[in-house]
Amino acid sequence: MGRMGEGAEVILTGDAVVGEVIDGKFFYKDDPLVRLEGTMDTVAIVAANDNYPAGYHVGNVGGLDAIDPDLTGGNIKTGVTIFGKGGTVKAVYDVQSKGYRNQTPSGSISAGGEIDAETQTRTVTAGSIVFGAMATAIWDSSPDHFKVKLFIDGVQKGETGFVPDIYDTLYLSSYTANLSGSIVVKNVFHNYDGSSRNVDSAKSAVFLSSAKV
Amino acid sequence: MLILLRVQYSLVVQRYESENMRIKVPITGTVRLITPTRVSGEDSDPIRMININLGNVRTSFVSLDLENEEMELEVTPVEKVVYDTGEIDGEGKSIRDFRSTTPEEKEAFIEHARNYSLERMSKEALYALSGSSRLKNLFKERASA
Repeated sequence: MGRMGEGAEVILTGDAVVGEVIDGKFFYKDDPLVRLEGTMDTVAIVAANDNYPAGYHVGNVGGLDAIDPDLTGGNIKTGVTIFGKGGTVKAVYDVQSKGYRNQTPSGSISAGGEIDAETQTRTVTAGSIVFGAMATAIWDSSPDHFKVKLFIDGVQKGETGFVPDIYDTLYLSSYTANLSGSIVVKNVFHNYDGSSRNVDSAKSAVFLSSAKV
Repeated sequence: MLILLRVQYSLVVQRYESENMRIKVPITGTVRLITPTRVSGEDSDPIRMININLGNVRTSFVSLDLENEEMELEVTPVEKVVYDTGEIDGEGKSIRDFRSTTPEEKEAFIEHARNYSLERMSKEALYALSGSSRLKNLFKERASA
């Protein structure tokens, strides 16, 4: 390695400026006789706001979610990625709900037979989830004979206990996912007796709610 | 001589099974549509459990097994039953009222439902008992053709 002899000229070719050097740190730019001090502030990202200040960032080995633990997929909507965090929350929107009530006409139901109580058809958009429920009351029936079934989209989703002849409300609910198009929800009275039975009067209602996820 | 008598006590604790339980029953009806995320039945002949009286329980759908033609149901004993008070109203009808079901009754209701499930009866026997027809599934028939 060569040595610099006497009389050799030192030429500095630094191009940093004070604003590019951390405050409290010193450097020589282009004049060996001029010692400069940096003025760049040390700053940080904080969870309290979304400021991204100019300056020197020390960084965090834990990443941004170490600075704000709320930065997690569980707080972000599905399909959205924020700073590399993919969302897992299914947002529900386009909610439509309606109930339908019917006064079932009186009549005879054969042994093992059934009559439709309330039937409704709804059109839901693609990717919807559907919630269905029903309530029913029946008068002048005999206990241990009638039960009420709930159907959503052509599949039995529930059945009540025996419906007594005293006014009472019975609720069943069901959840069906990823539907689209025409959906039928209905409830029916089923006669479990070995003989025909009369339904003198009954009221029933179905409730259907759909939402996109 | 002192004789120590060893007295053994036994504490009998009656435990009842969970009030909710699951059973599997055969199904009937006609399959209308099958997609990766949806199974639909015909509105006029929906997919449903066979015509079998499970007694004083209500049921909720859990899952559907088209391959084995079974439906899994959550079974819950009813909270109240109607009883005859012995009184007669002005129209000559018996006056009935509600009462709460006892834990023993709830246990019995569950057992009754289990007796009519695939846990304790064969599929053939249940179809015969109910008089329900087998599930109509053209998708399965086409796949096996």
